[in-house]
Amino acid sequence: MYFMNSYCNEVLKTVESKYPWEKEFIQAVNEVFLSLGALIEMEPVYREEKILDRIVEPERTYIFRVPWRDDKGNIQVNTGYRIGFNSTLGPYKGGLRFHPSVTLSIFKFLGFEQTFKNALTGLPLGGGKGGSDFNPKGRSNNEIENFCQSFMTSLYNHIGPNTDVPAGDIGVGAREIGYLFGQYKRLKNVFEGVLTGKGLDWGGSLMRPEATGFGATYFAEEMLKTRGENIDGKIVTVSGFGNVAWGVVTKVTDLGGKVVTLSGPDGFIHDKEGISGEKIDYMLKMRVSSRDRVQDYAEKFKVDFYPDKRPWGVKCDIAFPSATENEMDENDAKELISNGCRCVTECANMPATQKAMDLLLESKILYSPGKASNAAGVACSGLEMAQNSTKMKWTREEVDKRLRQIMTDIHINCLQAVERYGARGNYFAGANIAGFIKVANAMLDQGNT
Amino acid sequence: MYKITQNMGICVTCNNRTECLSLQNSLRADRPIWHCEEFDDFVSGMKSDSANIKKKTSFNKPNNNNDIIPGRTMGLCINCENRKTCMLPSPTGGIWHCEEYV
Repeated sequence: MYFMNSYCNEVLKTVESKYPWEKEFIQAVNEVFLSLGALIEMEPVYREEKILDRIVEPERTYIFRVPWRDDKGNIQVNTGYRIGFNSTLGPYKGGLRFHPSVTLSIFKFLGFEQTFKNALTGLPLGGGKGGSDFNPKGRSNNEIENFCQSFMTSLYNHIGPNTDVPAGDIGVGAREIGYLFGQYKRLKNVFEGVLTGKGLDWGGSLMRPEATGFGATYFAEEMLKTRGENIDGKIVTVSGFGNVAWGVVTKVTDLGGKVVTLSGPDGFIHDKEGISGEKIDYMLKMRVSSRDRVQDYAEKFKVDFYPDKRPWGVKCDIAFPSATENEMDENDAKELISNGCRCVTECANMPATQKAMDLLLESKILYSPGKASNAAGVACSGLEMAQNSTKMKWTREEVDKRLRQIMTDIHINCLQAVERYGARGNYFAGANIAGFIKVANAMLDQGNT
Repeated sequence: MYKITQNMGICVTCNNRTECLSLQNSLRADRPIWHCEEFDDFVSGMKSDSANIKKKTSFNKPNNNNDIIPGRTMGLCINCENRKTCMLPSPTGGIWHCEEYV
């Protein structure tokens, strides 16, 4: 299933020779292309129309200076970026990241992945990414506000509800979205849905915090249905204790499953009775405390705490890695498989290492990659855009119903894609192929743009 | 404590980097982390934050307790030049409209 067809290889080589310093971007292209070999062999039109040559090149890249004044009165200068990767399916959509580690290569890598993830949702969303090398750590409110205003002053002419709709990401939360939105409104003299992740009182959507976790649970339920099972009565392990984990715990409990673990940077807790009711509410308290400790849960509810360990050794039916990239290695995967785990649903982005992923795929247990099963986060942003453009606000139930339908559709698209191209039940290949087909076919329809 | 390198991705500024298990996996696989639900760079008790809040609220406030007049701790009276001699009644919620405010 995984092979680099000659056309994929040619394009990869071109990217490597053209941008040899962009190692993160090259790696991302390589990983997507590995899933596309069979498809490209079977559909020569993609080669004839040079779809891969076009798809690896961002439609536009905007790099700009962001000068701002710190609390001591000194001028500081950062670099801002916004990559419009692909707008074939809709306005560019992707988060803004403020972090000192970012480079053009990182934004290209994130924007490239975002394009296919957005396509999977079936919503009219293109792919983009942006941000700045600004380090918010230790900065005052005043400095954050100054920075955001300067950033938006340079960016506002290049974004809009029908052009490019940024969202938050690392270093860009509700506060930053507020400052950015306020400055955009002031400069453009319009109140419009130019950003997502807005406050509930000024254009934000209900369900945003729980969307990713709920969506991943719906996806797991769909996967289980293919084997005549469901979540009811299943033992579930979850890592993390943030918004995503909270969403998973809430929805799994609603559907009759029993979540028995949570984890934090300090280790994990094992609650054999299950995490429900006030224990779920306590997760929110732990988050707000900013202590980054799940040991607090163990002390409050008198359950076992395992310092410096992840929960993948606990016997379970379903696992939801919801914390960090690379949190599950090959030993964890082996333990899950040998303990009889039947389904691994990624809620975080790329939580399984390559070796872990290979083991999970080989074992034939149900395994879904984050780009499919955590797509409800960006889908909820798409629903926020829909509400903004119609000047309407949907109820929780309405948003939830639409999210569930979107996750069901993603599941069907992944399954159909792999059945057609020869890797039945492989959701990893399915997600890559289904996302690619949507973008590529729309590019064919729209001509040489 | 890990040595800070370019290969640490977003972990470079994360408060959890000294104990994070995922970072260990990441360093072993030479794959920096670019996505994380547990990323945390919050700094509590920011000096400049509190200074900022103080700046926003410190409008000509009484400097010491002797300057605070009982019953005139809210509204315009709080920093009115006449607050020590004013005979007008001050309701519980403070005075917010006054022709004699100086």
